[in-house]
Amino acid sequence: MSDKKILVTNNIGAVTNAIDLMMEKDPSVVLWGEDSGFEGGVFRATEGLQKKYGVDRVFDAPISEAAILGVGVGAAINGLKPIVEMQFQGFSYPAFQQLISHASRYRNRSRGRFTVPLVLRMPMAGGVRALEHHSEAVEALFAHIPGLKVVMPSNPYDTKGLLIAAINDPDPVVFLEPKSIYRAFKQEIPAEIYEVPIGKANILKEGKDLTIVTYGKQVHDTLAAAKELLNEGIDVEIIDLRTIKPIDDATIIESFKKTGRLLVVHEAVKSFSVSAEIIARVNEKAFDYIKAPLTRLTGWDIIVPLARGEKYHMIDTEKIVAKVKELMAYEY
Amino acid sequence: MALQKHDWFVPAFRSNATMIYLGVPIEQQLLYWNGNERGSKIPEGLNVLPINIPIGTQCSHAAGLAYASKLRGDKSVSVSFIGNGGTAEGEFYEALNMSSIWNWPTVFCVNNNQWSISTPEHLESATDTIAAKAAAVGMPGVIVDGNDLLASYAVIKEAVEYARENGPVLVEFYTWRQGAHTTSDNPRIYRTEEEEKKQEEWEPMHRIEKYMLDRKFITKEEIQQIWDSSLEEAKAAYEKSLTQLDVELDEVFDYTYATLPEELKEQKEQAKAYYANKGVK
Repeated sequence: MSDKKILVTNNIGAVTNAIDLMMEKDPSVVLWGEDSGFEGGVFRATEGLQKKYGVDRVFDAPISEAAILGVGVGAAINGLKPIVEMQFQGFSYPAFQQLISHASRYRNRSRGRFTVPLVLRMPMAGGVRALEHHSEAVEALFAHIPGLKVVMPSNPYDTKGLLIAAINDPDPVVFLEPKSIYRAFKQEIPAEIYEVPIGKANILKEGKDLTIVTYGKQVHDTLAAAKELLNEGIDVEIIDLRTIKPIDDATIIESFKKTGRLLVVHEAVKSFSVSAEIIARVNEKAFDYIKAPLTRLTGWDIIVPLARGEKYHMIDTEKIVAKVKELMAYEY
Repeated sequence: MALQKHDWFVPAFRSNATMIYLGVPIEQQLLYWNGNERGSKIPEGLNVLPINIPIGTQCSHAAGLAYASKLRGDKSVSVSFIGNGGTAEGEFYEALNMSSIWNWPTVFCVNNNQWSISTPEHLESATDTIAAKAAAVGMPGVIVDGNDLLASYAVIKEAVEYARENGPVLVEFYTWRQGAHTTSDNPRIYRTEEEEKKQEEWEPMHRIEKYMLDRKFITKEEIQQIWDSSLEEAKAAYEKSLTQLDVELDEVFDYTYATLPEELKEQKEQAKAYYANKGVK
């Protein structure tokens, strides 16, 4: 029996716990965002931290997304490790100038003299029947930018480990939190500090027939689909990408060489997406192993519909099962 | 002159003279303007950021530097510069507002040279002065004749010490852009030679020279010596910068991250193989 302490928590609790442990350990870790201080954020991700660490280290920012990030850039250059929050991904666009023009570039611009060890957290993606701008999944926009890292965990263990890794990372990390699974389930995770390495995908289920690469909320839809498919004799391998950039080519390619069939699943819109990138890489590196069209199941290229129409856009188990069967039936 | 060694300076792209004064070597700045990022590798020990190009975006960096200083209690002040056009950016307001809410020791300087490339002052801002904008964020705003070296020094010195003890200040240096915006700009399209001639009288170097000559602080010969030796220094720095122009292939990859991810290592190897065939290192 291990005497290691265990914490039973959901994804949001894992966020709070990771930040709490790191603030306790390292006085240079600081955080701010809209409503993030006194209230602990609209999702309560930072609840209790201002009380514990003081208003100097945990504070409410004005509704100024550009300054929230820009102040983070300056503070990071001057020795702090800021964790800044965008209230929703759909409101992060005013901060893009700071992210793309500065945070991602300072190391290169100054040839290593000034660096920006900053974490940009944000709730994102759909499935909670929200208002306009509250349901987008635009991870591809961030992943397109050299100098940034982009992660998206799907469970409490990875949420905590990846967030700690992001705080310790010497470069800016965009930390994406799919809000529909914030409180969807709990998991036993280690109570102490640990890291899940950025840049490493996780094989959640081994299988021989087809490789599904996915991340975030769709990991859970895919796991459910895999059970159904197994009943019909189709054995899929599931890769939880966890880090979108830098992408873990090696794990994907190795799996694909075994199965020869690929399906990438994400709710983000189709064109110019993460799935496009993965398919291009498999094509470049494992062309000889292709048994069926390299395929993706994604949101449509539409504006995410409001609550009543969101169902048309979202990925679910049924869609995944159907797409896998289609691919398994493919013959040259 | 108003800054202490541990204070931070956040330049605009017209802050070259200040950067020289603060210790960034001239040859390094020339290297930057000649297209080599090494020019922005500020020497260790100097709290000076490299030049930021997107207008008005460095104000929040100064605020963040000041926040970190205040949290550590190291009594450092951050001083940033932008031009008058930069105050039309929303980010200018955001940075000043946030700094003012939390009383971070920041001096936001605006070099109001009355032009934003070809756009005159009144088409960038409808307030009587830029300094007046300080009222919108609840901080003191000061305007000074930026062509008067002694007045400018007195104001910035007071502003820095005010910020160190109390919180942010906005300082507007009212001046005139003597030359073109860049070498590709043609001021004849939007202002007359007459206007420029009139402004030349108020050029700050002329004024400080006249002031010192009138009071016999300096002789004409000594002034000439300063100009001559400065020119020599600039020429030597220019020559030196020309010997450092080359960028190696490694450099354009290696500073993207602290440690290159596998994918980028692969791309770097591909680039190296490609350029090796062309005889490039």
